[in-house]
Amino acid sequence: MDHLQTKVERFWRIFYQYKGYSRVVTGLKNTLVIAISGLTVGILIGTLVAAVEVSPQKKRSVRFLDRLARFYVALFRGTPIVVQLLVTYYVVFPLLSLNFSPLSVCVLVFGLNSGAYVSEIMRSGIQAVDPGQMEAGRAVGLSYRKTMWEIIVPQAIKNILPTLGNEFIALIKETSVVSFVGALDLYVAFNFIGTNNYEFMVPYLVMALIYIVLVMAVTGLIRLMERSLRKSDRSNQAGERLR
Amino acid sequence: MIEVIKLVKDYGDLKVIREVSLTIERGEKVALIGPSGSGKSTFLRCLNLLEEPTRGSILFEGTNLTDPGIDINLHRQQMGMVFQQFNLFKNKTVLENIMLAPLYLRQQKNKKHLFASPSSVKSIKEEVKEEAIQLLKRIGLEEKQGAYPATLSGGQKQRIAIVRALAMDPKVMLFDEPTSSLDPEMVGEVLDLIRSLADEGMTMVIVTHEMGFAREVASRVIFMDDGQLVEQGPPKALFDRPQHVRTREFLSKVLEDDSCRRSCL
Repeated sequence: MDHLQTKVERFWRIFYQYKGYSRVVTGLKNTLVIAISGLTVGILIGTLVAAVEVSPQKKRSVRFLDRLARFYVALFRGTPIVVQLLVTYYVVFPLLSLNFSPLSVCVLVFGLNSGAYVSEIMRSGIQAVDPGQMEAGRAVGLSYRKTMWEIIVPQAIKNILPTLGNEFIALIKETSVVSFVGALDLYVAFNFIGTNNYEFMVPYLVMALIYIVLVMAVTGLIRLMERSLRKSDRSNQAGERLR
Repeated sequence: MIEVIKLVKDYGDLKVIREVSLTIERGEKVALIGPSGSGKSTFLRCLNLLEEPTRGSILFEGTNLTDPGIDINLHRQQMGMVFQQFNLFKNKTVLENIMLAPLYLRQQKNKKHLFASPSSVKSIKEEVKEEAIQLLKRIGLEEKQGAYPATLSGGQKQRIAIVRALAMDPKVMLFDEPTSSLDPEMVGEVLDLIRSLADEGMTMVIVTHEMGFAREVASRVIFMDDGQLVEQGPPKALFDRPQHVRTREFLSKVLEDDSCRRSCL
């Protein structure tokens, strides 16, 4: 165990005295920036795509959008995110002679990727709401949009939120591949420390711990939000009485 | 009040309604009876276009509802509907369930006035709330106004669903098997409420399996089978002297069950 102690000491030297932590902080920041803005972009795209997919309208414009949405979802769910990153950064952007920083490319790709998943989460969340709710809304004379907004979406959010939390957690973890296009994330930061020491055990262990803490914090946050949304559930009230 | 002309409803190859024509006058209480799968629920749901008819037209107060140019929402506001599964809005309290549609309707109307002041917006809300509470008092559930539907019994839910429809002050009420998913001991309270509406002169169409109730409340009973109106008439005539062989078969089956159930109890 004496061995491990020297490893920790060497890690600490690079991490603290040689300011390896500044890279870790940047990496952590980038991870969060990519995951949060990726999810935000994903929710925006996903909402639009889901709205098209659940629309009962059979107009030609809607049908065209529907087909486009299906193609988009198939494309981004059918390829690994690393491939999407590489193709966007090394193929699509150069072909369009666009020049963006690795970080912004990552935000874009993670947003598009997550949009495909989020749209599916939202579609199934909306379709899981009892169809009788829409019928009741329409039967009292509310419009499709008004019923959607007042009745269906609030109930769908309850179905969607836990899965959306999982999507966010998946995004956080997937950011560990952004170094493929040269963005600095936690992996790059700890890899740097390891390379300077020829010692990877402690840096990678600490990296793993940071990911776990991050994910646990997010999980806790989602739990809190779910609980506040569960007001109208009987199951919840019964549960509280039992406790 | 409602005139159905040659209504046809197909689901692909399945013919659910086969050219049905029917006129319902103001104040009539029409009971639709028939075996399951006979198309009676589909027919009822076509009346307010929850099911889109394949062919034919439905005239409601002279307006053709199947005309794609009309605003169906305006007409649905005048046709209250009660479902077998109650379909109370799960994310709203009892009071919000009742207030949602009338509040929205009146706010829309108010917007059209030039002098819509914040105070009038507030008084609209007070007004609608007052009416909703009156309706809840009528069914003796005013203390449940803040409760969510999941905490109520089936009978309570269905009575609230009925007053939710009444809150729009409809010209006709459509009941789609209103007691079929209730526990037996709760059927009575729901039927009592429907009966009191009938006594007030509300026009209504009821799809039901409660033969005793149909006989007592309806002014006209229609027997439906295989997507067609087989026989109709005043309840006494239809129940006591059915003309058509299919009506006789159906009635003998259900009435036998009915009397059996009664004797078993």
